[in-house]
Amino acid sequence: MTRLRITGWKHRRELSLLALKDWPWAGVNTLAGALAQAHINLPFLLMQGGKDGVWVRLCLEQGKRPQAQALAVELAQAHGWREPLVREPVIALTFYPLAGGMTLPAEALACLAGAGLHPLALGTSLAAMTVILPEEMLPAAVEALGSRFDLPEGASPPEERVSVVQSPVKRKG
Amino acid sequence: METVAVYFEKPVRTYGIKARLGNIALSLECTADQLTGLTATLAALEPPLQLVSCSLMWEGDLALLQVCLPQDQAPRLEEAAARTGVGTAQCSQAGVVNLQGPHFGDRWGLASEALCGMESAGVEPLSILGVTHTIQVTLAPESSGAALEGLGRGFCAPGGDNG
Repeated sequence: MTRLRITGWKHRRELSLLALKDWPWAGVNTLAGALAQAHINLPFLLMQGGKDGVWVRLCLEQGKRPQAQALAVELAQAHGWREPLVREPVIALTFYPLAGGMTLPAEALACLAGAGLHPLALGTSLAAMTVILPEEMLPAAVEALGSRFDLPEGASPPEERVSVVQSPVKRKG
Repeated sequence: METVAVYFEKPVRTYGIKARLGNIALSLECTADQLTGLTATLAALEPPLQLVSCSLMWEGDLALLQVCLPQDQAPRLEEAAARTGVGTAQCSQAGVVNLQGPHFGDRWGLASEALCGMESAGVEPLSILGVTHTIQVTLAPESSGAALEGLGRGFCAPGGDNG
């Protein structure tokens, strides 16, 4: 079988996954606003509307999870919505390029399933695909995916270590 | 940890804000075994299925797979799903708005900005995905104009070309 060519992958560790079920869009918006006020970034976000409300999976830095969870619980209790479920630690494993086709997500899911691994969530962007996995699954996932994708032998996805600062004060010059 | 950029923008600059119409959003519900069969079938499809976006989450033992793809590709996906015993939970015409900009995946507040824009326009999307540097809003095609207007309050495109 021809191995699938990808140009890059990376992973981000020490994340928490919050799951919300059947929240109204307005409630999700309120929570997103509160997280923004608290300067909490969401490196992965999936919101799916349904007949009973919105199902949400969002990732954030594990260190920010207590604050984010408290904000979500406060909203849930105030409005009678379901409280968030938390899974941690999780990793975000990102692959490039998506190349506008279903091949990458289908191959990745099939390959992981073949190793008995099921991602907690998956999402695509214009250029990439990210899968969210329990952190302990990283070695097994890398081994399984490395056998299907065309990467140098023994390659492991580099860890993303980038910080972007947002300041409320605009600097001159 | 290396600090690579500092941002504070209002509105948030993007590389462009456009609505793409002519898509189908399919929601599929399947067991783990069905998902394995379906993804193996989709991986083997020739030519490969064209894709606008794909997402997956689990609810208990059920995988919820949402695939948005060009309209002419939808029958191929439905056929593959039927062959592997996977039912279609929902099938909708869909427009897609992509918001993409520098370091979008590393900046707080952008999802909130997008959600506020949608709420101010009175639009409830089918789904929102925030992955790497893209926020992707999938919505009913007839809501696209209102959504672009709402999103245009918080985001801007080069040369003010929102639409």
